[in-house]
Amino acid sequence: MDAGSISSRTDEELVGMIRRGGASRDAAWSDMLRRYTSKMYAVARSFDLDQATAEDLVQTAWLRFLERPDQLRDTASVGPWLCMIVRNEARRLVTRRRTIPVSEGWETSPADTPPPSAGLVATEQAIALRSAFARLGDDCRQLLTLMLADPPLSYDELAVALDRPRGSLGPTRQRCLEHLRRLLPAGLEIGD
Amino acid sequence: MNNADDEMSASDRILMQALTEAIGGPRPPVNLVARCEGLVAWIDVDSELAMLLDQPVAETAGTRGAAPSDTTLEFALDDGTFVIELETAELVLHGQLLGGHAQQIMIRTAAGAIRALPVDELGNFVLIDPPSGTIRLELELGPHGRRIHTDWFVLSTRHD
Repeated sequence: MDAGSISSRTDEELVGMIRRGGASRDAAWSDMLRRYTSKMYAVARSFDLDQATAEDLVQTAWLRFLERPDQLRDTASVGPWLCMIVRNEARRLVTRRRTIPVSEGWETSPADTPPPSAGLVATEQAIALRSAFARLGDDCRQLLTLMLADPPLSYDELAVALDRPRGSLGPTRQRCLEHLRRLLPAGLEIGD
Repeated sequence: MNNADDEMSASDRILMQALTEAIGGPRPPVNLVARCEGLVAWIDVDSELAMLLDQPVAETAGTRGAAPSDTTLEFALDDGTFVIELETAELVLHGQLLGGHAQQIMIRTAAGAIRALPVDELGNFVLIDPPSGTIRLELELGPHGRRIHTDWFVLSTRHD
């Protein structure tokens, strides 16, 4: 994400401009979209929903934001509110489908080409890591997926997206990473 | 990485970094923001909003405490005087208006497509082969043409 394109205005200022309408509304709306759309998409994909449905969820959450200005009483917490809408709608769809598809889910290809110096071991490690990650339980995969999001979700956004207390996020991540380490084959351990 | 990094041990930090390189986080399609830009045009102050209730419960007389139905959506005006119930089966939508009558109900997609459905004298309507994606229902209630629309919601008829 290009940080230079993000307005320096606060969420409260942007929400106020959107609510008031007028000439500045469209610019404020664009800034708001650029600030939160990636995070909302990450929340939707963390439920192992396909790309098209995840896009629909993001769009739906934004429409709710536009239509329910009174519900968003604390305009400083717009990020967690949007994440909550995406989470609730994602849960409804996932429950309806009864099962969460096993992770043929989101991006399993490398985000970046491994550094040339990393060599074969690093490639093997990456393959082992992807395989181990796919064998984690749904809860751990969802939590780690959201913690890999770029731009990163705030603590409050993570807590809402995962429906967990803020204080449990660090310990749960630690437990999930320990589990992930145990799933890595001997000789390819990472960070031990 | 997120703002809980400061609490991470060095070994966890290395593993998270390796995960970032091997897997990366979910990345939105490049045109998603552009696709959302036009949504602001949907603000409609002349129509009343029937909001999606959080936990619709399929409950009839004598069955108090029935389990929430995950295929039933319920939309209600803020004052509770008018309700739309929607049953979303696989390839068909069954709906009912409670508390008022309309001649027809419109199904609108966020892309702007619209379909009109007749409403029978008991307030029932049926949509065969509903669209997938972000949709809402719109109607005019009673003789004075009171306009009502539901919250937008996602209807997924896609097969994984």
